[in-house]
Amino acid sequence: MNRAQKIARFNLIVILIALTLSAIAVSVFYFVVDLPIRGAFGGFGFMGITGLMGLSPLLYKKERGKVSFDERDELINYRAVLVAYSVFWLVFTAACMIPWSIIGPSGSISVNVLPIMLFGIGITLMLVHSLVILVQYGRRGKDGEK
Amino acid sequence: MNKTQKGAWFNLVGTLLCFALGIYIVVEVFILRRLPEGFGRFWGLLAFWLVTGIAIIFIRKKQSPSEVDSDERDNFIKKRSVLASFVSVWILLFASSIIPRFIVGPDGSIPVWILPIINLGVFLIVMLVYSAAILVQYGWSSKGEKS
Repeated sequence: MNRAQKIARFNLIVILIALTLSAIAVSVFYFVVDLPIRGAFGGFGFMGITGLMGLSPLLYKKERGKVSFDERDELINYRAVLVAYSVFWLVFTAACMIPWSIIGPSGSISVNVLPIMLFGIGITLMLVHSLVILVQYGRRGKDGEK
Repeated sequence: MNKTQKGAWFNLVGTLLCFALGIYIVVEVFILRRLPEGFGRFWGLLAFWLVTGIAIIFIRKKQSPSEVDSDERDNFIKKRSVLASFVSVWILLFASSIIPRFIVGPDGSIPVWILPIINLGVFLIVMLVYSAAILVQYGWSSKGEKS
């Protein structure tokens, strides 16, 4: 398994853990503690775990004297970026149009929703990017992926 | 001028036309509060048909019958332009989520119809960046760009 795969795998695990813990926390706050839905959304605080993704380049450092990124890796990364970019437009357009169609054209939303939207789109992109990298490499470390 | 450059010029002109039309509609309908009359109703449509018609002829016309659609250099230029537009998306998205907060305050709210406008605005600016990045890499002119 090469460096790009290790980073992608790490990011994927971090995002999935954050999403799972958030979902559990929101469910517990809403169904067990009986908090109103607005308060239960505080469970999304677990999404802060995704900040650990910033550590992935430090955890998987480039090894001296070894080629860690060749033309094939570059192509795989570019394809993953393209897929993530395509998904971005779908998610971004949905995030802009869905509130408009639910609330109606004369409604209004809190200005705090915009950074949350940005964060959600960012996490989705990281998830897609990591997933596409792993799928392209074959998910396993065999066949010369050292 | 090769096919990639022609496509970039078409995108650039189309995007600028969209901006012009958007500004015209905002000024006429929302600021002056009057609906366009006569030719004013149709100039946007006519301009789009004109640009599209010219682009179809312009892009389809090859420099020579042996001209290939794109080579490795063109692909490399497109690749870098996509990455430039991807970076610009994040800058724009970050700006569009922070600027309203400074304008209306942290407890304020914005009309929901702004969201589709942000979507369209980001798309148009990204297309502008993509086209400009292609043209900058080719050097803006048609000099020496033969296949």
